[in-house]
Amino acid sequence: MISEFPWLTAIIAFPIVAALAIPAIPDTNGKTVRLYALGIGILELGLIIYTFATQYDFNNPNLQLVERYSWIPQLGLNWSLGTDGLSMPLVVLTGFVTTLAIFAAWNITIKPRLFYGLMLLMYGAQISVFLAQDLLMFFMLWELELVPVYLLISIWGGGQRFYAATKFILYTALASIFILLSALGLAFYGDTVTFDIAELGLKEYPIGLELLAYAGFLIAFGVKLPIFPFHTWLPDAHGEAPAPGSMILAGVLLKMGGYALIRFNAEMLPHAHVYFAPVLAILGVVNIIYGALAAFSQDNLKRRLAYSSISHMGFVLIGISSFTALGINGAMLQMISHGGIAAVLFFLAGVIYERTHTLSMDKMGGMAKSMPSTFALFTFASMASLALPGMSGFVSELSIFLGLTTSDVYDSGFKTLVIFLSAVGLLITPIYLLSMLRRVFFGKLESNGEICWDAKPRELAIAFSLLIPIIGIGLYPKLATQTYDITTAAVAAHLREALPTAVAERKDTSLYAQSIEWKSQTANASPVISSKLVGIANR
Amino acid sequence: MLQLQYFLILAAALFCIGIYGLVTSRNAVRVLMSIELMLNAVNLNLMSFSNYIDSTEIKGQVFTIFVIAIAAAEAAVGLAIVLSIYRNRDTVDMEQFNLLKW
Amino acid sequence: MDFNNLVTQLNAGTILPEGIVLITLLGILVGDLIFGRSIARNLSYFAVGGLVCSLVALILQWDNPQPVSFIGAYSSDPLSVVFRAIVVLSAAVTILMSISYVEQTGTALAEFVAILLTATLGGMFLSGSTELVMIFVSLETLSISSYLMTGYMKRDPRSNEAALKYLLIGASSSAVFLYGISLLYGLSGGETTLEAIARGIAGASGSLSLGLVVSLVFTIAGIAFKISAVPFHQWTPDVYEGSPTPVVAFLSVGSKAAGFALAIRLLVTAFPQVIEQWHFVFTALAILSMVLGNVVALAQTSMKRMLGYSSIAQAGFVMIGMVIGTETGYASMVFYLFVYLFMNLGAFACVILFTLRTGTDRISDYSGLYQKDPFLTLSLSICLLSLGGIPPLAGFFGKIYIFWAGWKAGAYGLVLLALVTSVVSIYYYLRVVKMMVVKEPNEMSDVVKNYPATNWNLPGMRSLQVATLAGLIATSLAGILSNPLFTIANDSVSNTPMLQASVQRQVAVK
Repeated sequence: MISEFPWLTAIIAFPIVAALAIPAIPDTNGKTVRLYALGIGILELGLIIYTFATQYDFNNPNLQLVERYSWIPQLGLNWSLGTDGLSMPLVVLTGFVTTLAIFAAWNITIKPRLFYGLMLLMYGAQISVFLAQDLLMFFMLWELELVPVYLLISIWGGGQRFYAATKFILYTALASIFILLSALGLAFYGDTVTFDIAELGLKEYPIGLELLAYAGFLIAFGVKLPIFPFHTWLPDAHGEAPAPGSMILAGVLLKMGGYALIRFNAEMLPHAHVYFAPVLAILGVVNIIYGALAAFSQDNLKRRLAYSSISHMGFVLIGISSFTALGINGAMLQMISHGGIAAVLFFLAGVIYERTHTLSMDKMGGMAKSMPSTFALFTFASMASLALPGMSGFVSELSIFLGLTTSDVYDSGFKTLVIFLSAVGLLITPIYLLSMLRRVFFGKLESNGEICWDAKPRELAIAFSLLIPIIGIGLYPKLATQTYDITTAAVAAHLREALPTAVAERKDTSLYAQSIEWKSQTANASPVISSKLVGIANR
Repeated sequence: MLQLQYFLILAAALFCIGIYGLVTSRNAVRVLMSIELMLNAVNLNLMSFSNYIDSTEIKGQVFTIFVIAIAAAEAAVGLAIVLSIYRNRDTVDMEQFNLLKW
Repeated sequence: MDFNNLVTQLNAGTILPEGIVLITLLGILVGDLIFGRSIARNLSYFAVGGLVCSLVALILQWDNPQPVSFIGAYSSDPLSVVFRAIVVLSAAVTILMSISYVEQTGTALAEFVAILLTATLGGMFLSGSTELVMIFVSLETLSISSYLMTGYMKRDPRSNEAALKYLLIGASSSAVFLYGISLLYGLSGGETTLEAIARGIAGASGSLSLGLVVSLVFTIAGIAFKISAVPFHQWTPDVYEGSPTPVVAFLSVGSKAAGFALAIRLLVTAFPQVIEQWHFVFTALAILSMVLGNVVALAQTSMKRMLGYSSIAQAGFVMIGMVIGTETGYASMVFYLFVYLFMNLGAFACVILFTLRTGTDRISDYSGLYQKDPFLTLSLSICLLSLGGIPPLAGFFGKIYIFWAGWKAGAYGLVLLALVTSVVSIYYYLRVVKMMVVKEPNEMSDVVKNYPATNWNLPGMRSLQVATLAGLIATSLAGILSNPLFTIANDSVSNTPMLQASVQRQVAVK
């Protein structure tokens, strides 16, 4: 193993090293730097694809390409990388979206060196988050994101950028404390001190500790994903960030939250997941409906898109809580497809902003005439976002619904409730997306809309390269799912393994707590066995 | 012969007087003098301990000599600083020294 | 006692590093006397050379089989070697930084270096002293030379005022400290070496007496002044703001490290009976320092004052390592102080560079610096972010180690509080970075608009550049490649008999 070439380290190190070389590039107007950055981005994407195409075994659900070097043995910190079906597609997505974001940032003229340097740094940092297999290292890489994103928003962002950037960094930094606390709590439990994710997963924790750690992780990742009460930073950050920044924020950074929820909460702490899964499902429903309703009331184009991101991430939560391979599969697919859709929507919002210099939809209108191809692309992306059949969003949301419906863990009342409410959310989605289209592209032409020129070839190329995979996955979902469904099936199996024991434990508690409130609150939310028990007790 | 306690109480009293002077004085030189008073209380303490407990090795008396020497150095530096501040500001009133505050 | 026996008892080789510093100091005084100001700059390079030699001598003393010397008055165990190394390193970097600063203000450079070396000497002796008189003398050597350095810009009323405040508060706190150790002398039945004191107190009274507690409180007051722990911190911001910046750099690193060395040695060795009490007091000090230091730093407009409050907060983090009292706790403390040395000195080197060119240290004057001086912006940003604990810089690893050790020892609340306050600290460090990097060219401050072009060939600038670069490189790499530092920190603790004994005692109690 050791003699092999360290592919994953190379993937992470390449853009970072390339970023460090940027100050040395002779350049006066930023053109060389952007070519350089784009070249590095494409090379990196090629490296990622080549690595996974040649070195990765798609039929193996376990960790692959594992690298492990002792870094600081005094802390038990290892430089430990590995990839499986959960991380591999997201790494590819990261490479794809980030490269396109660099390409989308063609018109950045303020401090170009710093901008492209930060982009490349983030490129490596994001990928490393998905690949880390050591909890302490994961925490470090997670934090690594903070300052580049902060600078990205506060230098190149919109009018409220300082407020948004500060809010972003405080929320994320405060939340990431919980990662460290949970990590320390888990690592020091038992005889051995380890931060290795696989070894941590093998430890047997008392249920109290597991629940605490789960809650800690949930808060930390819930801020990133975001989950309802912790979401308020997101509309600000996404609304104020420059278009390439929003692409990365929505396309990649949110996925870090979802990925980590599956990787740590579900896979590492399956017993606590049994307790928290109904909560996740409810939070998912809240996310969907709240995000959709809030999006409806936004006048700012990017804020509306940001709230739609919140709404879509709710589906990921429901998928994770479903206990079925299909549901988790759908959650993965939803992350991938939303990565593409959100990126293209934010990109096109940026394209419009470059022309109109406003994001307020009141001041837009009638642009369908002057920029028809942008209009077509935007419509396409919105259709993808509202899960029109034939687009990737439809497949993922459908499989999440199916996953939940076929799940034998919840009782039928709960399932009906969840699905009904999220269907309501699904109904609101077209309303706000179509009204957005109407307000931006139809109607009376605003005065500043006259000078709008249509999308240029570069912009068309970016939008197309994001839309084609979306349609491709929509028409032939196996394209994406086959890369990870072995792993998601394994995750689901792992979760279900934990189910009987946890339910058995829970049986006692539910017998003790037979008060009316308990039933009314949790009876429909609890796994089927205990709910039946409660039902019997009820009679 | 007097008991050890009396000396210790005297030293403690002297120390408290020193602290009182430190807190209430407005003149920088008076503050310095109060600090000297506190150091003398320490000296008294050391001497009495040395006499009653450690009369063979008299480490306390040696310590006292060190304290006296260093107190002299401290007073010299202190007066020098007071002098230079007097040249710049024409005052040694502690209340007037308010260039630095948050 | 024959001569040979006396020589082995003295074991004077252990103070070879201090001897080298002393000879350098004398050489500078004599050289200044003979040749005058013309060779002042060469003399300061000579001083740096002397400090480097002393550092080499310290490295050779690592794993000294016979650390105890001067009949129990001095110990050269690995812990003292590490702390002396921190003091020496900070002094060397401070001299590099101060050359152009002192020359620009028109005061005598050689005298400044001489006083700084005296302070270094005091700090070094303080790190290894195990006897009350020795502790007192070296503490005062450090303090008195610090007062002198603080007031070195004698025409500047702010410097005067800082010096006077520092002197008055410092002298009174050392009087309080002295009163505490005079009680210790009496309570132990006339002993002055720390171990004998512990034995004497244990023999005199099995239970804890009121006198011991009073002595402990007074001693802690003296120490807390030196490490500027809240509520003994009031002097810190004033002194930091008023005194010459290189002096602040030394005070915040060298002097503080010596204070921590004193704290560990005195409290661990002489007060084993009241270990719970002093752990409790230091826990309170740590909590207050972290909260107050970080919160008040938010409101500062002067860069030096902000760094002053930040150094109070950083001392709070270091104290966590001390109060948990485990082997990893002490090791994390040593490690953090090392890391803190690099990043804080790096930050101060940048502040000096900026002050030299613009004559101001207001935070708002930094705005837009990125356009004019990217190198300075990068260095200062890296050092500040490292102080805030942003990965992958050195400060992150320092904090992680402290939190790791704290969690391992079960100090959950303390770790949680430290984490929350370090998020607060990110905010104010980032504010400066934002000022420098984010501001548009039209928001540039007036001083930055008139910013002179960088000329490293001016006399004295080269050494400042070296200091900045050293800080920058060490801060960015000491985290990622921190394995050797971790080893040094751990070995220094595990090879120090005094700490081992204390750790064992604690384990036995539990």
